[in-house]
Amino acid sequence: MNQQNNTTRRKVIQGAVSTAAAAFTTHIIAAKGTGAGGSTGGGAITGDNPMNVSAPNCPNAIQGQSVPRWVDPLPLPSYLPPMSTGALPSQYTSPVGNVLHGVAPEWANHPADWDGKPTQYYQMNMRPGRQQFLPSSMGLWTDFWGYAGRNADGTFRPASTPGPMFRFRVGQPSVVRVANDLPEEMSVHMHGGHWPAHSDGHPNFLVLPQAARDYYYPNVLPRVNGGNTGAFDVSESTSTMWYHDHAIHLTAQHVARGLSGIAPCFDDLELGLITSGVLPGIRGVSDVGPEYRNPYDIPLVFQDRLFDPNGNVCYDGNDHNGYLGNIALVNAKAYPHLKVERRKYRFRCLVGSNSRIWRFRLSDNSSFLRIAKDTWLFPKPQQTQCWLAGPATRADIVIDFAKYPVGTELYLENILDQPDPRGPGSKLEDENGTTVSGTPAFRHRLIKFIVGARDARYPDATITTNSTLRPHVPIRDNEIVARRHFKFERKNGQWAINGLFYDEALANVTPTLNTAEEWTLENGSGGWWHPIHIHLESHQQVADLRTGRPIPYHDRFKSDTTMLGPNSQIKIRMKFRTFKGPFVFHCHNVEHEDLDMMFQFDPRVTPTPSPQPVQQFFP
Amino acid sequence: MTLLTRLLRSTAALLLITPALHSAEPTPAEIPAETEQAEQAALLMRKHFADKLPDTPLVNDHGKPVRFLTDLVKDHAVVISFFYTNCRGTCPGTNALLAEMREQLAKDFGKSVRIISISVEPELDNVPAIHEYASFFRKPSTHPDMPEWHFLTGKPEDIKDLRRKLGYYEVDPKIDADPTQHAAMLILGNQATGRWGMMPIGIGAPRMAGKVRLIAGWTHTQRYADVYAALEKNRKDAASAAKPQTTASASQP
Ligand SMILES: [Cu+2]
Repeated sequence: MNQQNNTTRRKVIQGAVSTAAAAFTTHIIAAKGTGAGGSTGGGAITGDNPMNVSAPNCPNAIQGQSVPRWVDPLPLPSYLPPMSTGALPSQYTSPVGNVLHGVAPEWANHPADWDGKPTQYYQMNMRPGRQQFLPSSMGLWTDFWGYAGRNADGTFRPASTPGPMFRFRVGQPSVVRVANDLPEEMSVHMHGGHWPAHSDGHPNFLVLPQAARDYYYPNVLPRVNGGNTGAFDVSESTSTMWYHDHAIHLTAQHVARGLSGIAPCFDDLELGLITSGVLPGIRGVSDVGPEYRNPYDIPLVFQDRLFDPNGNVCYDGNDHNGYLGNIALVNAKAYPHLKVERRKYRFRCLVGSNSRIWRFRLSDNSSFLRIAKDTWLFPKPQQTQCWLAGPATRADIVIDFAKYPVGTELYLENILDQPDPRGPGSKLEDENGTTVSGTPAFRHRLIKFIVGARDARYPDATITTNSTLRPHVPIRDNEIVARRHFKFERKNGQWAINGLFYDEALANVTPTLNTAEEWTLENGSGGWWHPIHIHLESHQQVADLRTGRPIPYHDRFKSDTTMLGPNSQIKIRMKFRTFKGPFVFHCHNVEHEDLDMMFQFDPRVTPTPSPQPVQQFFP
Repeated sequence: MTLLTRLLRSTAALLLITPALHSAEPTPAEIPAETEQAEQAALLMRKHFADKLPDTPLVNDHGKPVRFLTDLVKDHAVVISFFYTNCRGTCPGTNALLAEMREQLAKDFGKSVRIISISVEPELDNVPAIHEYASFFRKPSTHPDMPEWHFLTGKPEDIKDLRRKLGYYEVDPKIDADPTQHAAMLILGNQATGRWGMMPIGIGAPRMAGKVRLIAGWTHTQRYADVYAALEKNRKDAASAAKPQTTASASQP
């Protein structure tokens, strides 16, 4: 077959060297034009490049550059309080566990000190919904699948995307009864947490249509020495978790349809950082526990979508390379604005895209503080001008707006062009730095900040690069009991790990509980990027074997997702504590995950050679 | 035609597990009836996510022109493979698997499923070539519910376009031009429910049949019978254990 005939007229943008989809007749969305419609540019901001993508199965997609900018305020996910605390909600129709998919065995049998605070009970149902993803001035509505939180009086909120925001507290157990009013099987993965296998959102531990599962979230830290006694490992305390669908073969389209939400968690240390004024918040209001209010702590969920002319999301369920959109959403709203005060804000930035890899910076190239990667605060903040984030990666950042005069308009922008599902076309180490010099070849503004006066009642946060946040405990050489190697690559039109596809019955790896292992994550050939997500606990990146460079500060402590660029070989260390498996690890380019780039690891009480059948199965 | 009427077309899976469900207390494992709401939501999904299949002109192994969507896929569950008659690597294995699966598909789906095998080297695979090839794998059957198995060829550019739209392609044109890259995967789907998936052949016929039921099944019962059976097994195991399943957490410090 002659592959040279249908080459595209792609606009070649510096930094993107790919020849994506050159084999096929390709419809390029928004391939020309520069200035964003409705630009109101403040300061020295000029120019805005379209996010070009190839979308042959969505030929009439709305052109990204025709979408007006900065029309609507940033929507904020609404906090969902528990229906009850301590006692079962009267609105539950059955006791915990008495639903089709039951509850984790740990619910009935766990150490007494897991119940330090009374259990919180929640419910949410997965339902269709309708929101204006596109600016309201376009008059279009988008159908989606989302999560409908249940109020204490038994009424349901409308389904939303992002879903309702949970706020969990370390040491306070929660039960979330999740019911499925949609026609496909679901699985809710609480991403970044430390959960029993039954509650983790394992891809085969489902919530069938018209059924429910009781997700038991003990919000318990692993112990310093593993096991069920002894001190808790405070270094593992979680901050910015998110939840999303993880059903086998369906994750990508379910996430694309809207099934994701955000779930911050707090321990005494983090609440204390608000009380002491280090982290942004209102003393006495934002630091009193999960049911707090904090106007200076804002989640930003970044996603990219294609839209058909009616305003509905265009997703090609038969394309398995990775979904790329030409329109950027923040909290499910295209190009919103946010009014901020002249003070410090914490933003919990989550890349909730299926496949797109982003590099963020402020439009004036100012520095800011990054305080966390994925779910874990750093020991001390990092000063940076940018951050790289692929699917599932979180970056908690603190931006200080006090240096800008009232009326300043400032943007958060994406400076990484990715028209090709394989990746941005550059090298991981070239994108994963902390400085941006000169004007980036590609700039796509995502959200506008409008700076206003500070509310003088509330003191500004004091955080600096010298602030002490969360202690880090490195995994030492002498703790490693096993070394393993995993190669992620394309095989026969699918995605494989060590040449194998996902098998729900097979525990590919059986670590021993309460030990540590060292894994090498290798990316095979082909130029693909793979963000690798490992459930259960954090892992620590310890070496970049291909480049020999030190691991950057922001990747050095704890991750739940490690980005592999083309041919990357990253060595990580990880502990396996508290819970027997099975758990999964997989590529978080969710199209790759759905097409079987996923393995199971199944921590066991006694040393066991692998592979094995899985030791527990909770369908 | 509603999903409920389709339910009547699916056969064995309806009867597969229902009797076992009413044994012990509590009895959560009851299969709910399909509701109007679920059907509406399914149609919403289909409308936005899987109604973009092309009506590609093809020729079957008897020389008859057919359209991919109109004549083969519409209103059917399908198992789609690609092959080429010169294939000495994976194709024989794929076709042997399909031949084996066909027996199970007859039980699970009857004629509401079709197997569709399309040449990925149509430049070489003319009608006589694919007819001879088809005759080797597609054994004659008197089973009244034996699913149809179509072998097809066509114009190279049409088949390439179809392959692209089914997601059966490589981004790298060099790899895409190699037909051996397109012979080890099956596409499963159901045009009416709008649900599709792709599977490696290596998982074997029984697991593959389960995947076909899950992905291409017509009804809740057909799609989830295996899940209900596994739930039931877990419940029986727990009940028959000397003591209830105890801690799943670590027992040693
Ligand atoms: Cu991947």
